[in-house]
Amino acid sequence: MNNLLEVKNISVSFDGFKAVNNLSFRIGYNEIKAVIGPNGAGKTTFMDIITGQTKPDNGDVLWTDKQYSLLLLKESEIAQLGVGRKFQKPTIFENKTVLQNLIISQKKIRNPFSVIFQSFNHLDQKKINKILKEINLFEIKSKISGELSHGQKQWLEIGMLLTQEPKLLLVDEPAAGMTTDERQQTVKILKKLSLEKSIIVVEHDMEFIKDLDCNVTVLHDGSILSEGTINEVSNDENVIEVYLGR
Amino acid sequence: MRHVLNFFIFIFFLLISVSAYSNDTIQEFIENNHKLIAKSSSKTVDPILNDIKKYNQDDVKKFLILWKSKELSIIKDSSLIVYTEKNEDTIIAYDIFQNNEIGKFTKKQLKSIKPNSGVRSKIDSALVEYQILDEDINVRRESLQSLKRDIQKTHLKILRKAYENEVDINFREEIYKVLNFAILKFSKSEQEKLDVLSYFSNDTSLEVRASLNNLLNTSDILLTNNKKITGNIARKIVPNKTYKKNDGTSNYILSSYSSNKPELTYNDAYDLLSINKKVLPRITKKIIKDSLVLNIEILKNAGFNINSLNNDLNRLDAYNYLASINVVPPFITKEEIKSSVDKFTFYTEYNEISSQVTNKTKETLKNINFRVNIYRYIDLFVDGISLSSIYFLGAIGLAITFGVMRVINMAHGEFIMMGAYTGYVVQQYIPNHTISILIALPLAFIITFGAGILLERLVIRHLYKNPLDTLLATFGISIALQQLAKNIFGTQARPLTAPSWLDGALSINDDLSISYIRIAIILMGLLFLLLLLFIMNRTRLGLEIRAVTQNPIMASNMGINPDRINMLTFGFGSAIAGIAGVAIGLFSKVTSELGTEYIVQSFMTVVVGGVGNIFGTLAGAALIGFLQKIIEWFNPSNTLAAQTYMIIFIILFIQFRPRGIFALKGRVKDV
Amino acid sequence: MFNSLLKDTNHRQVLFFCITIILFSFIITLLSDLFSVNFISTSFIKTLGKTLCLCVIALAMDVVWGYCGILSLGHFAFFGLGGYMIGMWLMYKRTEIIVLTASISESLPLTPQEISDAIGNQIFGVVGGSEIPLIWANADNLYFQLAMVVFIPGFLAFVFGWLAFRSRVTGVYLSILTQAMTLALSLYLFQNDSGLRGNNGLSGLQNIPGYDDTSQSVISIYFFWASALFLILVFIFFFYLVNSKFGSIITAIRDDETRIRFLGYHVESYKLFVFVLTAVISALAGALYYPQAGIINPAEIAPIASIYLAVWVAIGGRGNLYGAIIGAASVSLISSWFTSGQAPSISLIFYKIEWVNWWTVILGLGFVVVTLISRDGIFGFLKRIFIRKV
Repeated sequence: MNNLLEVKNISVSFDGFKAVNNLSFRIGYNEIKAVIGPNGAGKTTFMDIITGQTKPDNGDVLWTDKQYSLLLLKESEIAQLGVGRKFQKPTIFENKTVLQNLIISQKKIRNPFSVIFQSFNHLDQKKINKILKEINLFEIKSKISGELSHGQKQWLEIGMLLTQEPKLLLVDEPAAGMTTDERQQTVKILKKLSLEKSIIVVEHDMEFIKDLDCNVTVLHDGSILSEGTINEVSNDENVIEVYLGR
Repeated sequence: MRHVLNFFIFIFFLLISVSAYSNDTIQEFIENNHKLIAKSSSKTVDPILNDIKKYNQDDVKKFLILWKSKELSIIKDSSLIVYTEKNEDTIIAYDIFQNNEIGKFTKKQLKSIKPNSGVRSKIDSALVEYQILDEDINVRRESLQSLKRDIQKTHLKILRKAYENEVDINFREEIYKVLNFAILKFSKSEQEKLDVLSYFSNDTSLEVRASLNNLLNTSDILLTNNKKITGNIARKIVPNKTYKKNDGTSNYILSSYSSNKPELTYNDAYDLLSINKKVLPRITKKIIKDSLVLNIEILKNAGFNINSLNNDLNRLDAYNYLASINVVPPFITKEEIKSSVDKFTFYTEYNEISSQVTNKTKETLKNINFRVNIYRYIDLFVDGISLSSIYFLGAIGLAITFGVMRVINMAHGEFIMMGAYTGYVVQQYIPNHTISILIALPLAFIITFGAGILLERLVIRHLYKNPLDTLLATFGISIALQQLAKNIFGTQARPLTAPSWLDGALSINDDLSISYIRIAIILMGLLFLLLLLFIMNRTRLGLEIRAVTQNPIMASNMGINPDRINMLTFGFGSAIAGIAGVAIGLFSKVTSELGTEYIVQSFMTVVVGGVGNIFGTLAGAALIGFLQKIIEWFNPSNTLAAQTYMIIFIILFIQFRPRGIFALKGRVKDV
Repeated sequence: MFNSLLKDTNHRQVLFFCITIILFSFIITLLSDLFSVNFISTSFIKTLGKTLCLCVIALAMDVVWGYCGILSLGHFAFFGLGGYMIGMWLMYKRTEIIVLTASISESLPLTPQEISDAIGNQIFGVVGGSEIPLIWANADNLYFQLAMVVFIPGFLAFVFGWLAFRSRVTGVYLSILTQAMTLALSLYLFQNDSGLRGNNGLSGLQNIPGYDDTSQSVISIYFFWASALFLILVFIFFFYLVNSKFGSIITAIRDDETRIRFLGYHVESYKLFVFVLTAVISALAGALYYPQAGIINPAEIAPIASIYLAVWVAIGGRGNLYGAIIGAASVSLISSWFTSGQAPSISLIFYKIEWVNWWTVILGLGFVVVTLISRDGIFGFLKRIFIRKV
């Protein structure tokens, strides 16, 4: 399968502490992959590197088969290439209406000069209305988003990701603080999304990964401990020791 | 060369004329010259002081002292010069030398002789040759001091004699030094001067440098149309091409961007020629204009349009017309100026004849200047340290509060001001400066600590979530406090006097003296640094502050009450500002604007140093302090420009280290 | 051009604002010396005209701070620079006219060199120079200086903003840095060899070259109207800007910079755009302000001026264009009333309160109170009361 993203031998250290150590990782088109690991394993740093927030000390991050190095790009440029990120806590602009939130995340030319002269035309409106209906917020699109419920905020954020039309989605602990039902729902959405996008799910909840049923990479102390299907991984001696042996 | 010869001939005749008559007594001499003595001026007094030397030494001394100290009078009728004493209504006059009473006079009959200061200093220097051989060493010392101020040619001989006769070894050494100055100035022996130069080769004192620089004095610019020039040439001057160097030599200007300006332009050189009557005067733009104005009727009649004379070209045309009918002298063109100037060589000579002496002087001065520069670097270094200490004192309180609370206290400068005013107020009640400062320091600590806690409780704790709002609110506090201080203490500066033992300086030599107050500031900065390191690393409070700085959430989970820590930290940071205020007040004026002068520098220090680290603040203070001093050093006349450049530097510095020198590195926080 | 987020009420608001300002201007004009009513003095007309200019810079400050979240303490520096640029033309041209008029009585017409020497002597005599510095080379050209009003502050804002935003300096750091920039600029201008007359500044700016026969009462009305129209223009522009998608993005930058970055927006260029745009508008406001003030010197640019600007906007209500205008107009007018000594002193038994001394204290503390109680200032406070009643 062709690579959408390839991470090659990256390492990064903060004041001598090796957060990520010689890590390699790849994901293909329309693939869903999970990254798990205990606290401090380097999951968030790994995502920071892909989105351009942290620059690694060595190694490379390559985009598609054309092998653009993402390390040379700014966060905004990486996002414009098609890397979307969903944060652990729902992060939406609480002072804006639902519609405004979606409009600013809609895929469009992003430089300030074009934005000033951009019009919100019929086609854009249609696209957004479609998404609004998908996330069940069409009726309350003029509501200030700070007044939404927790679940609605999560939906809105997913909606924002969808209008962004990314090729790769980074999802940080989507199931945190969710009930079993909500978790099932989230798994469904992610699976549906993976039909046309690649998704990296970062999680430390093994149960959720089991439901997702995809390839799993286990991180520990900044490097890969084990890789494979959920069954292979959960039977791995090393993984068991890290998760249970403390 | 010719000038020097003329000078010596002149001196020779002067000496002969002085020794022409010598058989009278000093009394007669004074009487003969009573007019010159009674109405002396510094211009006319020289011959008298010269002539009088041939008389009895004691008498001359006595006369000169009385003359100098304004105790002589002249009797209007007889023109007799006498010494007077006042006795109630009448004045008793005595003979100057025998102390015989001459008679009683009224005020109107006498006129007291009051030599002006110029004359008195001439008398002083004439007296020197008697006093330097006096039995009393104090008189000898005094006379050497006054001699040093203005060494005369005659002193050379006296100094040699004094040096030979002197018994006090230390004083003999002092005389030797002055003698050497005299030799450099007046001796005719080349070898002797060279010896003296060797003797001075390691002496960096100002007087030695001045005396050596005098040896390199040059004549005015001379000119000749001989190709060969003789004499001890200091420099040749090529118009438009050479500039004057500090040691009196010249050098070519290498690039047109050089900051060195040519010593002579072609026009200057031509003007010199015309002053020396070698050529006709240059026709300047002003002369052209004046001539045109003067002959405006002629021009009108000749058909010139006066309104068209609004540029130099047309004016020159009109002038040339006037020249062609011989109304004015002909215009001298640029080419003519150049060719005239090129026929001549311009140069200057050293006043010193011997080239060996001037060469050696240059070399010696170069060595001395090298040493002097080293002292200056040391001085700059100490200056830098003391300025850094001030910035450290001003900024450390700010750095601590910013590190712990991520809050910038814009009123920090006003806490510095409060500290300084506390010192001032204490001094109003306790006149002893030492005790008052010792009381002011803890008092300032208490007052500003209280003010800080108050500010934290009333304002800042309500705004933790929004640092920019804190910035604004503390702006408000700052404005209000400043105006309040103005209302209470007025706008004029109040003195906060340092104890007298802090006056003066630790003087190592002429170029290196460190004022005690600077040393005190440095020590104070050091003391604070150690104290803070102790508090931060060895006490419970310090541990808690560090914990909150690094991870406030974790710290509160560990049972540290962040509220309490915030309050104490803020109070503590403010209190340090208060103490710094007392220190800063000691050497700068205490005004309501004292704080604003330091606040921006303090912020810069924190920004450059990085947050949450004492050593960061120290490094920031050192960087900014030294930088400011170095920029000032390159451009000493302009402290405003120095500050401008420094701020520009800091803005650029932030480009490379956005989080300061000592940045807390780590994973970017989750959003 | 602008998206459909605009509600009709928005158009009505703008219309209402324009009509209010124009009506106000008409009333002021009718009451002025111009129609011999003499109800409002020329100096008060100038004060009002200046206040309108201050409203413009307050609007700019509100957009850069209230909307985009950059607490700039440098916008008054741009305002002053704009004043300096136009002041150069006003002063040079007027001096030139004086020199040429004086030269008529001379028997020879002056050469260009003599004219420039005479002008140099007149302008730079106070700082001990007579040569005209290079930066004045085109000072006789109004269009060039007008271009400089836009270009110099715009360029400074661009370079400074580019450096600062590029290195991700934000929040408190950025404010301090802009304050340092302002301080550096004012210190630079304080020097005699800055070429702008050191601490003397530029003066006589109220005399407009070529309008020597026109009285100040007429000129003041011209400038008053120019200021009012400029305010309207800037208000309309900003109003539609902040209510468009662009406005939505800059407020998003203010609220959560990292998030908007992950949406693919290059935050730095937005900030730079807003910073430079507002700097240029501030400079234009300055160019209208100082001919009415008559004099500009480096003290005007000192950091405290920019701090007061922040105070006005904060008191009026940031993040709201009306708030900025209310704050700037009310606080600056009240301040000048109190500090000019017109306010009556209050005699207590033991102390006489003189407002000249105590107004600043009250203003400072009032500012603290506003920050504590109502983050969105007087306007926000009024709005909340109003909405509660409804």
